[in-house]
Amino acid sequence: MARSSTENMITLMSSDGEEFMVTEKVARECTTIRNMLEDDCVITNIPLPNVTSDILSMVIEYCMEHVAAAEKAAAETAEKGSSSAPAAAKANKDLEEWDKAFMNVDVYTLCDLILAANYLNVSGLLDLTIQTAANLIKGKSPEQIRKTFHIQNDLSLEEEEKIRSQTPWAFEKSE
Amino acid sequence: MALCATLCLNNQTFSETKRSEKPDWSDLPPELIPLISQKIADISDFVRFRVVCKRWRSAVQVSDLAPQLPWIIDEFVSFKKGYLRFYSILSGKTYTIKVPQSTDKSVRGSTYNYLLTCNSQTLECSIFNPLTVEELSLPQAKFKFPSFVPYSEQSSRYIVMSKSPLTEDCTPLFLCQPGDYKWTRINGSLTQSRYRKERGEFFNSGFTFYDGRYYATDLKTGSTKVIDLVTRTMIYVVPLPESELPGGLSIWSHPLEGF
Repeated sequence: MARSSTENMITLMSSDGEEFMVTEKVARECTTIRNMLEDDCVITNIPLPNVTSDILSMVIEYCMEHVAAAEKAAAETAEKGSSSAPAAAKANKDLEEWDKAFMNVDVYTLCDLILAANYLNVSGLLDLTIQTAANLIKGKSPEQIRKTFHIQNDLSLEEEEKIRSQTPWAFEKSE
Repeated sequence: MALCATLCLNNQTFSETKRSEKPDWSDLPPELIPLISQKIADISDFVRFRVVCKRWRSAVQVSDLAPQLPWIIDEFVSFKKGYLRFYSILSGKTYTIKVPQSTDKSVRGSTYNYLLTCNSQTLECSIFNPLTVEELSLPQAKFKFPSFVPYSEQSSRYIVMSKSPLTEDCTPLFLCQPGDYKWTRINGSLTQSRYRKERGEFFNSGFTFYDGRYYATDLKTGSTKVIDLVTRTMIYVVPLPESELPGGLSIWSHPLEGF
């Protein structure tokens, strides 16, 4: 996509040394980076030692999609003088569909995305990933949750039994 | 260096070779775990979430439970049988919850996540959380079958109100909270004898709480009484404007959020 030459480009460097060139607008979707840029506006190269390249590329993909959607909505509003409600609703739905498809990842990637969204402070992505994790928990027994997320049960049999006996109603039917 | 070696590989292998170890969900920073539990809408999912592993359990407190849709209490099942039964609007499930058996105890209302209970023989009252089985004693009621007006301003503080059905020419309000040893009578509330017959209405529709105060509208005179719940005194009586409002009176609690 052609970008205006006046737009600042920022280089983000992943923990494994890969460089990603993004527009300042996309980079600003990450509140952590936005704050860095506001403190020091000449910064152009940002090392992100906590994010691997595969995860960083996904975060950038998310930010680019959301920036593009916002730009498209703003352009439509400017063109027509006012935003058309059905068009805006369709755009929202399209973005929701995109988010849903974007969340079609394994639980390890999901976990890394949560950590990256939290570290980079991308509130929309953090909300999306956390919601996805919560959806994976819905209706499952503790064993099924552990299996889904590859978690070792470190509660002793006695501890677990004690908790279960306090709230037996929560363990009915689901197992 | 590593980059050059892996560039020729396809994406899948590329990401796998680079990830030295897989992230551990039980090792999420403790501040992120409640974010997940807050998105869990159903309480039974929440309870099961807290049994997954020690770290999740210690990171998420019972108070992190997201606001819940109300449960419907099955009134035919009571303390007499040693269990209560609830229907969850959200999940469509019926939950049977064991409670200490008691022949004379009954549910008289609910406040926040507690049920108000009263024993018709001993007149002992309490607020009782059926999920945590926590019970907080209230002072003994002086009157048989008190009618409760539950109130809670925040989860840590509960005030329970009741009118006395005993007295003939006045209907004083009483209030108390856990830890009190007696009910406080609010003087000056509805003292005119002519309201004797209608006093039931007073409680049925004309009250609300806002900012630590209790507002009760007298359905006959239209005046609104304002009781400060901290000092437990009536602070104002607001008369109805001179041009009378037609029809029945009730009170409207504005949805203040969103302004």
